[in-house]
Amino acid sequence: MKKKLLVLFFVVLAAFAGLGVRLFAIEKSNGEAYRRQVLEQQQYDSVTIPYRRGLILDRNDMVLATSEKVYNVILDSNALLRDEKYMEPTMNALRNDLGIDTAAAKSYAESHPDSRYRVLEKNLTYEQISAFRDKLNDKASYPDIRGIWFEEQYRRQYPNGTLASSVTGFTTTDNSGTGGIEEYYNSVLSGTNGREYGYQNADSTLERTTIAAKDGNTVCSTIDSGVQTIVEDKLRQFNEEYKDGAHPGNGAENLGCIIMEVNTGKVLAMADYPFFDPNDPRNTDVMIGMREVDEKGKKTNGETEMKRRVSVGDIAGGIGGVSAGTTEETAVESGESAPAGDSGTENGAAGNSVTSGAAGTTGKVGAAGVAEVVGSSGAAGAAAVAEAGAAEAADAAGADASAGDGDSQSGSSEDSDVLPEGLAGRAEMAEVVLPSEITSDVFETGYIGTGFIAPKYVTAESISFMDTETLNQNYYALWKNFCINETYEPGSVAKPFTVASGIDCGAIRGDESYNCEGLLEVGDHKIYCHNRYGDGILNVSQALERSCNVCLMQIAFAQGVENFTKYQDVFGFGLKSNVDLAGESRTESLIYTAKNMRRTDLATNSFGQGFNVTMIQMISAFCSLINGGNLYQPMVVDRIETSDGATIENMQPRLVKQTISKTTSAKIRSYLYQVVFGENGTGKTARPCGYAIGGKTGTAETLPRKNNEYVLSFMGYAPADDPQIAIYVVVDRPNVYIQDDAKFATRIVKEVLQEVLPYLGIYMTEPLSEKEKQELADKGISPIFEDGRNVDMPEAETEETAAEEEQKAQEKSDGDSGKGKEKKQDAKPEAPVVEDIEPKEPWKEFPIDPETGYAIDPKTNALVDPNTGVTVMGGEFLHVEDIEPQEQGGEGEGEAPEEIGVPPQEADG
Amino acid sequence: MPEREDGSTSKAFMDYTLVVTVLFLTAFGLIMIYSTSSYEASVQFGDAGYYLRKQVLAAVVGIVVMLLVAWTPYHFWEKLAFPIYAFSYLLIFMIIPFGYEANGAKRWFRVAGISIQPAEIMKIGVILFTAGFIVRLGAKNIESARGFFSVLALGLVPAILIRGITDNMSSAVIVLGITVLMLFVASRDYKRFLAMGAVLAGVVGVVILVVKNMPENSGAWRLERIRAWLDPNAYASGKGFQTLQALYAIGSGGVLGKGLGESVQKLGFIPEAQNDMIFSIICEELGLLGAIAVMTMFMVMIWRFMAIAYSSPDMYGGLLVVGVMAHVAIQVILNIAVVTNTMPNTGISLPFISYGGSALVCMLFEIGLVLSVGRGIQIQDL
Repeated sequence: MKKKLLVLFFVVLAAFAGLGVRLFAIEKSNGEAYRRQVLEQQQYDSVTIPYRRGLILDRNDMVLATSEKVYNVILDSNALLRDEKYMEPTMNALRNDLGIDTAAAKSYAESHPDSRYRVLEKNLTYEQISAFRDKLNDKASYPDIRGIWFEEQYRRQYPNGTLASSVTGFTTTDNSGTGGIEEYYNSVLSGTNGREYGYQNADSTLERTTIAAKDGNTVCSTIDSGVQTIVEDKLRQFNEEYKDGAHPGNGAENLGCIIMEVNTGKVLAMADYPFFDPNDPRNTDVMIGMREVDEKGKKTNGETEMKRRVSVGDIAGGIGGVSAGTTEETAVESGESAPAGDSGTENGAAGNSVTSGAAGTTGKVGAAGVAEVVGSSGAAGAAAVAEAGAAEAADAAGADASAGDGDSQSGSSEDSDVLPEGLAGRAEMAEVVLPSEITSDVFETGYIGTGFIAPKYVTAESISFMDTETLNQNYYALWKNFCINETYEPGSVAKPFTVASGIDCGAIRGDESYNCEGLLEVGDHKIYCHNRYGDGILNVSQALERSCNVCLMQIAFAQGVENFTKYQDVFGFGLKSNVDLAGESRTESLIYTAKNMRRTDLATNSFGQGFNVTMIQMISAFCSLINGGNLYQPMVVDRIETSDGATIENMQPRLVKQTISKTTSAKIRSYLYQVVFGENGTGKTARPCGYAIGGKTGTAETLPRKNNEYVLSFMGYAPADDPQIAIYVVVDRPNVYIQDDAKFATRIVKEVLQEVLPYLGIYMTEPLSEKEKQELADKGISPIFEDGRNVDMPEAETEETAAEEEQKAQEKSDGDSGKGKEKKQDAKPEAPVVEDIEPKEPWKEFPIDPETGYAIDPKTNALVDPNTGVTVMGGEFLHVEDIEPQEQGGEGEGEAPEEIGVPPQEADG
Repeated sequence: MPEREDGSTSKAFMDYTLVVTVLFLTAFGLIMIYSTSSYEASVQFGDAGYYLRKQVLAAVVGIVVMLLVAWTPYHFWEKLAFPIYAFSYLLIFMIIPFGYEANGAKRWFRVAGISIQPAEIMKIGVILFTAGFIVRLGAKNIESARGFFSVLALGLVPAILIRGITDNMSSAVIVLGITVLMLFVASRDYKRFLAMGAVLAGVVGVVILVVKNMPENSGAWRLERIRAWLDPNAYASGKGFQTLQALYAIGSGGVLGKGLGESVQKLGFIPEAQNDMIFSIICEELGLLGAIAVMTMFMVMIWRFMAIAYSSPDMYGGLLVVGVMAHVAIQVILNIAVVTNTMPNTGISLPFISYGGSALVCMLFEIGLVLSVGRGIQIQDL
């Protein structure tokens, strides 16, 4: 037995030895392969940990954009099918706790038994999944719920809906920003995904590592949600009031408002209507009422079968014809060469210029397109005119006026609107509804005596017909930020710049006087003032107060082309403002240079027609006029923080340059004060009760000129004696029959400032009349005064009657300003002069049209403002009239359109 | 060699080498169980120590049992041998109505939350009863054909029952193996055993040939197991999965291993790694050196068994120790052979180390028997 025992022991020993060798053999022959195999199997273990996109806060740390964690439900069929008993409880829980359609999940699992990753549901919130997750974690009670896990993600949220949506922009699903801050600061807001993974180190062993995600940085905006809310409310109200007015659609084609700190360039509010909800940017409902664009992003017009493409000459011809039909005086006013003009235009319509006009529309560079078209239509016109024996007329019409007009129309809108970033691209086609059919419509109302381009507006029905590309273009149009992405002719709000450059370059001193006779002949053109009956003798301050085109032309002539263009450059026109938002338009091709600016261009530029700007450019430059000449780079973001709240970058206001001297600035302030407070000031209606402000109205005719469409604006600052904020409101083509009235903009300014100034803690300085007190009470605003004085102000006022109101307020403010700081020295002295030289006011005698309340000029049938003499509609006048009229009809208020559009880049041939 | 205690010639002998080896392996087993099971336990039960806690309890109970048995004179069991052996049969039959099914097989009773495998009890019963039976039969009689086969039947019958009723091939093999080895040591004969070995080898060879030449997708699942053994890569997602993953673990561990607790394969690739496949995780974490060290510990243990059996005061004691030695040796060898894919996969746990409470308690009971036999050795006998 003992021997056997030893035998057994050694047998066992041998077996052990054999197994040891076997182990060694495995390691030796396959160790490397198996090591790799193990690591390969590990691959699926590598998990991405998403970063959280940075917040966007307003200046009071209110959240404008945030990212919340959401969960995707992932099905792991492989795990689910490991045991039959898992299926039923898992599916029940999915159905009951997550509300997922389990039939689909089940059939997927059964048909893809090896699948380990299938998204069943996306973007559930923590609350939504918590019931299921509890069960998943409670293995004791729910041991058979398998094969389901949650993948974490972040979803961008904009808690305030539409608030500041054009400023923030939005994000696409892959967390990249589109538009606004989201795009401009995309790299700042983006973080880095973390990862949990295994990797092979130098010894071929597996290291497991978790690299935490680095969350994006927080962007602190200069936007004040309180101010922004007020602004957006007022724009919305405006839209409510005017939508579907003259035609179905929004209250205006575009509404824009910027409020900026005068002394820093920080933007307090920036809004443009229509608003969109960045949480749901592709909601088509908000698109309804917008000007529709086609698949190339161009604005569309009218019904297809009702329109045709024409050159501008044709439009003018049509207009001329219509005018002739309605006004006996046409021939007289059209002047000597009406026949030549007509034949020229007809010829153009029939001939090449139709196509060349279209070519110009799509041409890349306005200038090149213009030059060509000018050539061809000029040739066509020349041929026609030669036959008619009016060579001169043809020359002028073709080369100078009408062709330029027509092409610049298409060219300008295209050039100005095509954003490098592709946010919004459009061009206005020279597509015109036939005058006959418009007029039938229009003449019933009696308001429009000219050809009219009927724009097309988005409706629920038209959305349903859009193809993908068209729909996208309309989205772009919706998402674009009018305040920075679109260009337009500023109109009279440019006048303070003309005056400022005149004073600053020494061409004028500010105490000059000019005589306005209602028009000025510049070269071959008659350029009219808004008041065709003449403003009489005005000094510089009064010129601004009444927005007199003639005086401004004189001031521009005094400084000359060199100085004028130099100062345009100084003010930043034609240059990007470099605001920190995505997609700012380029305007360098949309202004004249000293080389290509002709005298007529200088004349029209002096009152803001003929060159294009963006809102942000205007208000930035305007701040420098007000604050002593410091041009700050506009900014919407002034601080960047880490996700933990540590500040990593503080953006200081960036002073770009000194535009004008302090004394010039002081003079401008005094003039602009008069615009609001002067007796004949055009900006009276912009003044909020209890405050003194300064500013300037603008009424710019859009292209094509004869369309009776206007861009109304007001640009101002408050308080007048110590400017803190600047405001700029633009109403692009309000939805009314008679658009030519800056009150559309000034009313918004007044309502906005009435709430914004108290919100910002700026005290009232002006006495309140009874009427104003009532007005404030109606609005629920309690007056605030620095010394605690409340509602009741000097007793003198209480006696005033409502009728006298305006005039009294005027005087009062004059009186008050005496105690005010600087405005009194600068501004007031000039005022009385006007009264003395007040010219005859013929319009005061005109009969009043009962329907509209405007006076009607018996000679022209034009509608005239009975107080100011401004022709608002009708009549055959043009602001800019060729001596050999190529076109006529029309009218216009403050701004006389020349055939101005895009300034040619190169000198015309 | 047993330790000599201060001169007293009649002092009882306690084999401390064996005790230390057993305690070491048991403690090492607990560590490895925690290492291998903590991930799955925390995923499944939210409690990383779920398996460890149960095993620690079994280890404590087992050590107490071991000490009690060690101090009990082993002849006490001679009288109880038949009742225990008979009771083991009863338990196996009771599986049919009362058995508890887990992992697709009906092998356990659940008593007060503890699962007990009758096959483990049977192993003890076979050792106790066969030793007494051989002694009573006498050395000469077991070499007769009748004696030889009647001893063989003591293991063969329960083996067939275990295989038939509980579908547990590995326990059947162990029970039969214990009997055969005890008989081998007790008899002086070689021929019969060599013949048996030859027959076994022949059967294995034929089976391999047959299986290899059989068309795919035919035959019972047990045959597939054999196919998977012959070519685990071809069955990587089925029967060969566990084996292949164990091989990956062994191969990727290298000479020094990835370090204790660093196994990757236990993270869901080797299912229930704390059970039969625990040796592969030892290889992965502690490398070839660790694996060889564990095998050496088992070798030391078997050497101690041999030494005690060699010096046992009587044949009964010697045969008891041989039975235990056979049990441990067979189970260790088969377990490592399975893990290294040296033989087809069948569920055999690694003594002292694999998770399993009743198995550990039974094993420590058997060690108690060996220690008890060792205590009977007088120092001067050595």
